[in-house]
This record gives sequence, structure tokens and C-alpha cells, in this order.
Amino acid sequence: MSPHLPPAAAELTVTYRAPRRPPGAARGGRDADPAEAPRRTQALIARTIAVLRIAQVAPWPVAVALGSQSGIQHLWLAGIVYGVQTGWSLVWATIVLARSAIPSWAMLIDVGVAASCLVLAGLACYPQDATSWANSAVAPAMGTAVAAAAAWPLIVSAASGLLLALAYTSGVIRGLTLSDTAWAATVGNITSLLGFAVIAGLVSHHLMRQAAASAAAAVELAAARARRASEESRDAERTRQYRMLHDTVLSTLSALARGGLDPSDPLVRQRCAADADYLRGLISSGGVSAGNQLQGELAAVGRSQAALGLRVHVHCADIPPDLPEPVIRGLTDACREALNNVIKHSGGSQAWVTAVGPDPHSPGGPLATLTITDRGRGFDPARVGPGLGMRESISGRMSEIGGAAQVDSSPGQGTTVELAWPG
Amino acid sequence: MITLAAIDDDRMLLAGLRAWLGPVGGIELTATAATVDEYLDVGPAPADVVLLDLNLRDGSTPAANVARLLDIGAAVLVVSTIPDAEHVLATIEAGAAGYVTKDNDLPALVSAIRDVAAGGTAVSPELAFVLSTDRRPERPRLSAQESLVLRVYASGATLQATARRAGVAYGTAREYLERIKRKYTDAGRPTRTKLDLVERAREDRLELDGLGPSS
Repeated sequence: MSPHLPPAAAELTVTYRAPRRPPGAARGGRDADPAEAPRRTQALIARTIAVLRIAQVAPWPVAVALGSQSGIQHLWLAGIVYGVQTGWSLVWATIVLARSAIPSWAMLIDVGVAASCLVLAGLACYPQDATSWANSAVAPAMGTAVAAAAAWPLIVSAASGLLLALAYTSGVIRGLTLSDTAWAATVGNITSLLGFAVIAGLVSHHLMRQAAASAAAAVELAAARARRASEESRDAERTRQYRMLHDTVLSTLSALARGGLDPSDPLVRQRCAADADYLRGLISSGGVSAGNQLQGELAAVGRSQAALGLRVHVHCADIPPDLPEPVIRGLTDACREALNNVIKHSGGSQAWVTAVGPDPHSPGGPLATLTITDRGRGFDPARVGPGLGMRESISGRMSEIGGAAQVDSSPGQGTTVELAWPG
Repeated sequence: MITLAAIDDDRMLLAGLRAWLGPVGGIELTATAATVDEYLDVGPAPADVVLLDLNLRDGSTPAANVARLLDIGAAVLVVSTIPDAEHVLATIEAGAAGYVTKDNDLPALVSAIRDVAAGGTAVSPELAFVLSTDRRPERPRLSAQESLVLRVYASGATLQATARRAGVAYGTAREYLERIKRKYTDAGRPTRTKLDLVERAREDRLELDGLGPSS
């Protein structure tokens, strides 16, 4: 062996990587996730109010065309006020529709625009007509008050409602001394302005509370289901292990105890070794692991390969107990396929399977890393290329679960397949 | 000729070992015992290498067993059925020359015994796995290269393949494994002194009680 080997690891490592896709991500985005309820409710409220706002700027030109024009003293001012408020309302509605939410800064500008328009629109009318339909700012201001009540907590939305009521009053104040009907109309308009806002606030806050409660319940339910599923899978794993122990270790020992078998018979010894390897594989070096599903699966895969003449040494440490079911299945299947390749191609009679959990020193790394190693004849990855087994059964399975597979080999030096999830 | 002693409380296993090593040239099994006390008592000439079962059922601690055997000048190769990480680490830190599981085939065991007898270390893939998954805060610091060699070797790869993947020469990879093992032994030295003291105290107390150290 040359003492001056180049750092060749990179060149000789063939890598197949699949785009990262967590299991379950393929499910349709339209499936209602109850945990998302608050966000969906908020979006619904925001969109409803945006549509309301667009609707509220429509009636004034109609009213003006149908005769309310007579109440307008300065048509140019009324036109500018209407134009500014309509333009801003459209901008505001666009922002809200695009975001499916009401941003605080947009709400703040909205209240400012509505208050200024209330003052100016009132001043644009003849004093006695400022409380009539001639005043273009009232309807959009109601929309603003409603939006503020939905978007902001009680105190802020109450303050903005009061500000709007004050602005309206200062716009129409010249006419209040002229007639009692003006007083009544003013009180009526302010009541509507604040009343709609109060109702909107109550409804939207109620809806949001409901949504939050249902989200919390959904999260609770999902957690309970996950706990239940993990308990069930642990139980299922134990049952499976007991059955496997019965079929292997226990029957071997019983057969030996009955007598008549020659313990030095190579077949008997092979079976004993396979059973011992299985038991050893069930016990991780890092402490208690009873019921760890991946570990049980790997030990069982190793034991089943023993029937084909391969001794498999399984070493596990720190495997997370809560790996998703499809991931455990994918890793196990890929591992079985890699062991099949060892039997078919390596010419060796032993294989090593190691499985380790996340490395605390590199956060963000894989949660589970498996290696399947043999000390057989190996191959030159640059010349041979991946076989169907490697491409489909190993890399394909790993990419299905959002993992990655790598193979490393060199002639005469065995082969290592490394599986990482997520990869 | 390497003289070998085996300490294991499983008599059947000792008998099997004797039959197993019988045809192997250059290694002679000179003594077997169920406990370290028993081995030290019988005491003909101490063997070059002692095969020590990790978990003896006489209540002794694995690390203290290693320390007592080192005291009489033996090289200790720890064996067990299952690589129980905590105790394997403790025996390596106590100065054991190596560790292998009992499922190894004869050539692997013989080669480990020869390495240890020659004053070297026996870093089996299973020991490498225990060291590479050591997550204790007090674990010795390993360089990135050392960690890589350890991790690849722990996956069951041959030393040759390990060296290639780490981009170092064969001898360098071997040197790394020995250096890692040495770091553990060095890290264990203070503990070893403490263990010694505890052991001495225990013997002293037994003597004071008139029971004698071990009889």
C-alpha cells in the first residue's frame, strides 16, 4: 500500500441524492388542517372586509347622480375627497386581499385617511346637508371602523372609532345649530359608525377565539393520536420480537436441549450463531432499547439473511424512538436490499450493519444514519456504475422517504452503503 | 510463546475456549478462573495476556478488575457477549489493551491476543462503535480526522478501506486508532488512581475486620 495516498475519498464516492421531501408532504394542500384554523379564519375576515370596502365606495356617485349633488357646496373638494378615499380604499383592499390579513400599518393609514376625509367631506357640503348622502366619507369610514375593530384589540379599535366619530362631528358641526334633524342625523350616523364596528369586533373576535380553541383541540387530538400510535407500534414491535424469538432462539435452544443434535455440526453452529447475532442486534450498546422498532427490524433483517449464509453484525446506538413508520420501513427495505447485494456480489460471508441517531455535535444533520458494510471483493464505482438494485431498491426507496443513499467501494476493499434520513 | 489466562464465570465457555485454542500455535492457555480474586490467589507465573469477561457476577466492577490485573503486569483484553457501552468505556479508560465481543471468529480473537501481547492495542469494530457513539461530555477530544477514521472503522470496514476513505495511508489509520485508544486511557488515569484508592480502602477495611483481603 502506497504511503502517499491522495485524499481520494471524494472521487471514489458515488452519490445519489434525492430532493428533500418529508413524508406526507405530497398530500394535497387543500386538506384542511385544523391547527391552521386561526389563520384561515383571519384570512376569511380580512377578505370579507376588503370586499365590503370596495362595495362601500360605490353608492356615493349614484346618490350624487340621483340628486344629492344639490347638497354639495364645493364640488371640486368633494370630488378630490371621494377620489382620494376611493383610490386608497382600492389600494387597501388589494393589500389585504393579497396578504389575507390586515397589516397594522395599513390600518393606521386607513384610519388617518378616513378621519381626514370625514372632516373635509363634511366641509365640502352645505352646512345643512353635511349629514345627508352628499357626504361621501361616511360609508367608507364605517368600513374603516369595522376593519379596525376586526384587526385591533378592543382599546385601540375603540380609540380609532372615537377618532372617526370626532372627525365626523367636526366636519358636520356647522349644520348642527341650524336644525334638530341635523342633530338626529348626526347621532344616527355616529351610532351606525360605532355600532357596526362593535358588532364586527364582537363577531370577528368570537370567530378567532373559536378557531383558536378548535386549533388547540386539534393539536391535542393529534398529539394523543401520535402517543397512541407510538404505544401501539411499540407493542406491535414487542409482539413481533417475541414471535421472532420463539421461531429462532427458543426453538434452537429447545431442539438442542432435547438432545440428538450434534452441537458441532456446522449447520447447528451456523444456526446458533445466527440466533446469537439476532439477540445481540436487539440490544443496543447505548442502553435500554426494548421496543425500538427500527432496531428490531434491522435485527430481524439480519436474522433472515443468516438463512442465506450471511452473518450480520448489527450495532445500534441512540436511535430516536419516534421515527415515522414509513421512514422505518424505507430504511429497513433499503438495508435488506443492500444485504442482498452483499450476498450476490461481495463474495464475503459477513456484513456489518450500524445504525446511529443524531450527532449532537452537528445539529441539523440526519436523525438516523445506517451503514451496511462488507469486507468482500468490492468494485470500482467509476467503471461499474450503480446496478439496478442500488438505483431502484436503495436510492429509490431512500428518496421516497426524503433520505439519501451513498455507496463507497474499491476493488478488494469491500463495500459500504450509507443511508441517511433525512438526507 | 504467549501465555494466556481467561477469567470468566461461565465454566462452559472456559472449557470451549480451551478446546478452541488447543490447535492454535504460539498461544498457551495457562490458567482459567471464575473471578479476579480466584486468579490472583492461584497465581503461578502471571500470564502475558488476561482475557477478562466484562461483567463478572461476583459484584466486582469491571474497571477495578482491569486495574488489579494491570498491577501484576498483565495486558488485559476485555471480552463480553454484548458491548455494554458504559462498562466497555470504563475498562478502556482503566487501561485495558482492547475489547472484543465473544461472537468473533477464532482468527480475529487470536489476532487480538497477539496484538495485545506485543504491547499494542486491539481496537475491534465493536470497540470503535462504542467509542464513536460516546456522547458523554467528558469524552476525550478527537480531531476531525480521528473521528472520521473511527466512524468508518466502526461501520465494519477493513482498516485498508478506512484508510482510503479518510484519505490517509494504512499505517496512519492504524496509528489514529491507537492514538484514540490512548486518549481514552490517558483520560482515565485520574479515575484509575481514585479506583486504586477505593480498592485499597476496601482491602484495608477487610483486613481491619480480620477477614483478610481474600481467602
